[in-house]
Amino acid sequence: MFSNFDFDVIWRSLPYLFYQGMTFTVMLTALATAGGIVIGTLLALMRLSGVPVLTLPAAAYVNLMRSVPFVLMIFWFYFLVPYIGQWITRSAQPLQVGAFASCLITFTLFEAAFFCEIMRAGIQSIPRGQMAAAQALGMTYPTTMGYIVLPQAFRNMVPVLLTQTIILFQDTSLVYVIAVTDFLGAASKVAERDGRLVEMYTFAACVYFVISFAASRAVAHLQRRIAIIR
Amino acid sequence: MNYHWNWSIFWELSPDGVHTYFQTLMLGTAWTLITAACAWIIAFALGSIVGVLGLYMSARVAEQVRAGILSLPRGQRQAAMALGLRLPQVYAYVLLPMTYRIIMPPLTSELLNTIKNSAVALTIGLMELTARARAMQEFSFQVFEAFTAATIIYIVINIAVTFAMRMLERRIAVPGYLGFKAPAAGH
Repeated sequence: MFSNFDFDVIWRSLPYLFYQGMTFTVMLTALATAGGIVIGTLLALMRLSGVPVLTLPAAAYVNLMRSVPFVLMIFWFYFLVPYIGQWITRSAQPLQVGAFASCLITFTLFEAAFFCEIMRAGIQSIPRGQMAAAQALGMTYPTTMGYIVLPQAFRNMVPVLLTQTIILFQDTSLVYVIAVTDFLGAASKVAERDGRLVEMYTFAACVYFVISFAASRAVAHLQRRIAIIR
Repeated sequence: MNYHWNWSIFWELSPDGVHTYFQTLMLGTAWTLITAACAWIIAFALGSIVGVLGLYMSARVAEQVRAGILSLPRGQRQAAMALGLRLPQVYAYVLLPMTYRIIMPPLTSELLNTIKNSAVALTIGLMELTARARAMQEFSFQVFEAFTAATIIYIVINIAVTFAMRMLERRIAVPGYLGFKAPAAGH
């Protein structure tokens, strides 16, 4: 099987794969994770606020995002974002949004729903007595959340948040459907140009496996450490 | 917004000359469901075997079956052994029937995930629901109608599956067992 396996094509395309492809993948993962956690935490606070005006829209948003395939959402935003941009800026034509911006908005908003559920579980894992104690000390709701509940919730949920980030990292390969060149996109371009499908896809699979596996081992290690302290 | 809305697009003939756009979306839904059902059955069968063998594989169903078996009190296995059952019998008559009843809720969300993930199959040319919606958008330029329809169909399927599974869960729930916690991350 390996008799006509061409390792040279991998070697030749390495700079392209990593400078163009991997940079995009990693940047998208990092920015979408950061944005997703911020928006997700806000959504979780909305869902737990107990005020129907805040609870219902947040719950509807999260459930909508969670019941629709990611690929469909990528298409939705790809076509929707220019129109929303046009509506906001009041320009004559749909706004030109770059592929990267479109992907980033999609991933951030989509992952926010999943981070919201994780953060909600995290906030609920803090005993209610702490909330009551903080209020007895005269702290306001924002102070209680910011200094007492959220720091602990984050800490408890760090392993799950990181696991979700690994899933996000794998999902970035779906930007392929709107013809954006991420790591997998770069690999498949080289594969089709040189007619070396087996080599390039095998290599891409190995790279994704190594990164994801190493990251999930690291998360398991971290989880053990946190579990001992708690 | 100067987008030209046209909701009657669904009843116009699609370029294949035989079906209307609405019918193509329905065909896509059928493919989505068939793919998801087959995939789930295969995962269920394979996951059970792998989970029972105790091999450390992170196939999701295997992990859940394994976690389900581990969540049973150790005494059940020991009691079954003490009664003189052989190991295959212990699994077949004592551990697995309990395990499946306990892990049913997480397996439900796994089925929902499978339905959603089948959308990725469009990258290798399977004409399921998302692919049909995209095809419809490409042929007719009615972007928002096509994706709205697909979104609604997915939500309806999700609600139907959730509802059916909740009925099933209520029937098979083991008395005295609280919900088994599934791993929280996922899509």
